[in-house]
Amino acid sequence: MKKKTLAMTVLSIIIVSVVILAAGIRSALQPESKDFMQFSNTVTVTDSGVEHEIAPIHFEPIGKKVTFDVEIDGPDGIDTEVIIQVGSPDSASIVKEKITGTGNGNAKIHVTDAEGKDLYMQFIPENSGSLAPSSYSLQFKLRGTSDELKFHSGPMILAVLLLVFGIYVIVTTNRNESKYDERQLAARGKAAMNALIIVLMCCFTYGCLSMSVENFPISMYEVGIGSVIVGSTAFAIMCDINDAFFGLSERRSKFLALSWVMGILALFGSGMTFLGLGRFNEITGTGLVVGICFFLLAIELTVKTAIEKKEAADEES
Amino acid sequence: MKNLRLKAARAALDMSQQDLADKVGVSRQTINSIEKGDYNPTIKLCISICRALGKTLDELFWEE
Repeated sequence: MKKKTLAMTVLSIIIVSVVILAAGIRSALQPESKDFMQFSNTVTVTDSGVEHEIAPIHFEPIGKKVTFDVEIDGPDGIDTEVIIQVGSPDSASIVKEKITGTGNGNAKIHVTDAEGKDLYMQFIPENSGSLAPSSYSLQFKLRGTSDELKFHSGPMILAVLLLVFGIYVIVTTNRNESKYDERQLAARGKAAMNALIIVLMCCFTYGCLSMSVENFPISMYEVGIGSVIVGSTAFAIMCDINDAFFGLSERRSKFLALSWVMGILALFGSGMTFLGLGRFNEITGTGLVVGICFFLLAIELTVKTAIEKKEAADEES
Repeated sequence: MKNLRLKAARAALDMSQQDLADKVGVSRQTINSIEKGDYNPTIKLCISICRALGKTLDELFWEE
């Protein structure tokens, strides 16, 4: 094995190992995610009951099992019923818990199947009978705990697969170095550097936008996949413009056809495509980027093939 | 600057750019770039081209 290949392989293993180790340490140190919320509200006790304006609280919990620790501080004569609903604040409750004697009341509310659901928590104060009509202040403390950050095997498998793929790419790239001549290698080096800058710029732009725009509609997942696809396409186009994408013995026709097929499938194929569903989500957004990139690549390859044929014909004549 | 001497030496042997490229082990576009003066080859490639065309480095690449 060449020194360069060995060095790159070792480097990849170290990088992936550090990522896995960091994830492991984080999961060990912080096995559960915790959110804390505190607010107060005024309730009015009347002869007919308790009037309040406590709005339902909306949660989109991460993880399957969620536990809410609820603490309510207020006068002893108020009991509070805490209910959890799924979908909307008008739907039937899936969990009901009564906190009696609010003065020192707290409860643990468990939701065992919360993944991907919209949860609403409502507080319904009641007069247990001992309070005189008046206004009272209630202090609420909420702590949500989820099992999401526990270590999952999925990302581990993905990381290992990426590691194997990375090593394979490094080994084959170094082995096939002789399929490019010196001018092509230099051009590929420049293109790789420019593609890396493009990927970094994508990530940097996303970082700036997501910080400055509240609820920025593009997720990290889309940016990660999209940046890599855009960078790879830019690399391929820059290489091909400088006649350095295909090796000395490679034919471009197969790749050209593949690019058109990939572009068409990503944009027009049945199922989860943007044009198929007519709306954006993470999958269709990524598919749209993939489709556009492959289309651009296919157009560039087609134009370049025509130029190449013309140049070869001119040279022969 | 165009390398017309390389082009002439190749034409004298009735070789196409592709023929020379195959003989030297580079792409046709690389030979084309050298002839057009767009690419400065390394000394290693210059020697390979000279050997393939039966010329010296001075004859093909030395600028007076």
